[in-house]
Amino acid sequence: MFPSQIYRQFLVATLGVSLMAAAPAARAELIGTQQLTESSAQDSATLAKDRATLDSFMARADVQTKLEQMGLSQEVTQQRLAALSDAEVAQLAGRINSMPAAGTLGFQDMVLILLVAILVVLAL
Amino acid sequence: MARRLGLTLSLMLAGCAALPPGVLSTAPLQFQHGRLVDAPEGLPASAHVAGVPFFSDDRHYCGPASLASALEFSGVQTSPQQLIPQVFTPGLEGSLQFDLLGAARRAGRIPIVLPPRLGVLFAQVAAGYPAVVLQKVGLGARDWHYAVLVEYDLHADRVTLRSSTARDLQLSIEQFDRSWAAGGRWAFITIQPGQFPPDITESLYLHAVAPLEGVAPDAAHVAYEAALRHWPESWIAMMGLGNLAYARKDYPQAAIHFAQAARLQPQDGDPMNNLAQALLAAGDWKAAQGAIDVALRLGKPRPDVYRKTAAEIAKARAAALKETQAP
Repeated sequence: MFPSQIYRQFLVATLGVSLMAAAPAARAELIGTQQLTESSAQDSATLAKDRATLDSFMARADVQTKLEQMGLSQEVTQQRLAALSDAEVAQLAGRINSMPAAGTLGFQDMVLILLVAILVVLAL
Repeated sequence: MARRLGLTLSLMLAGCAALPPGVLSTAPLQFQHGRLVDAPEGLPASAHVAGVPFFSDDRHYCGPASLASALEFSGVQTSPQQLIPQVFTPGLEGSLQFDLLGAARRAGRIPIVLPPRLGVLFAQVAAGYPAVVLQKVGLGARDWHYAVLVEYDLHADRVTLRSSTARDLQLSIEQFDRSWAAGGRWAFITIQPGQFPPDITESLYLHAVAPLEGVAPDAAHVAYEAALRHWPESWIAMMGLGNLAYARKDYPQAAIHFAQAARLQPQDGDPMNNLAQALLAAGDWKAAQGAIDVALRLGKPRPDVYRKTAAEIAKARAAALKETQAP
């Protein structure tokens, strides 16, 4: 396992997930309406994984610090995340997964960018 | 690297800069020589939406102000103050685009992001829908701005916007199009469930409604029912009703809707999969088995999901049979 992965898992384990990307109540085996309206094929397992990726990211200490600095409460952020569409969550998860590892140059910038994106979604 | 990050940030954020617009776009303009490129058929030469509320903003709250205008006009009791916590990000001094959409959903309205065409944008105004538009209003990386389009006039070459501290800001169409194009021609309207704006296809409509299921299920329900009256063959709207019923644990009703969707779209395995799930949740694994068998036979588009459902049903079947064999 790479160091950054261990770091992330440690964080999630110790902090718990305090900011949940509260997904609409959907099970992996029930095909959601958003999957039907998306032009590209989306499967439930990927959706569940994407929401989990988002949750883990939001649980990080450095992310939570940034949120506080930006003047956003956990409750507010939670509500905004719940209003995201599946496609928006998928976009964000993609960007989280392609982030450089912690400690590299530009990492803090990336955290900020992503955080900003998460509070809404990159339209790009 | 830093500049690219800065650009990325700026493209998501509208910081309400108040410089006069009409700047940097090299995209081909859609109003040339006094004519609208690709105008929708029957578009009036001018139109004005009367009575759109105006909320003056001289700081960074153009997002809440614009959204409040649109939402109030569509019947929601709200104000910029109430919307600030939902759309404004203090650390960035602005509002991000999809936070506006999310807040509209939470208010029980359907935000529809329009196709990037000036003619379609004007058609909304002609049909009585004010549109929230994203504009680039200066040369700086943060000079993004939200405003509300309430009027256009092709012959007078003019549009009118609710913008910052100006209740009726007038621009030439080209000026407006340049500033709008610089942001990718992003605009949205907020509609009530049951309204059907011009040039909005069934697919675009349902795509806009579906994300409401989690945050405004009652509004989503009304929207799907209206969609079925408007497009009677809309199996996806029927699936939406089924998913809503399932989410509130009304499994028999969910089964009815999924069965109706299957009748409308018999070659697609998805309705039968969800029907099997609803039947299983309602306690009837035998009927569920029948439904999933059909889905597996159809085999598309999500056979991996059907197999998972089949495995669940098999477990329920095994548990039921074990019970009947207990001494």
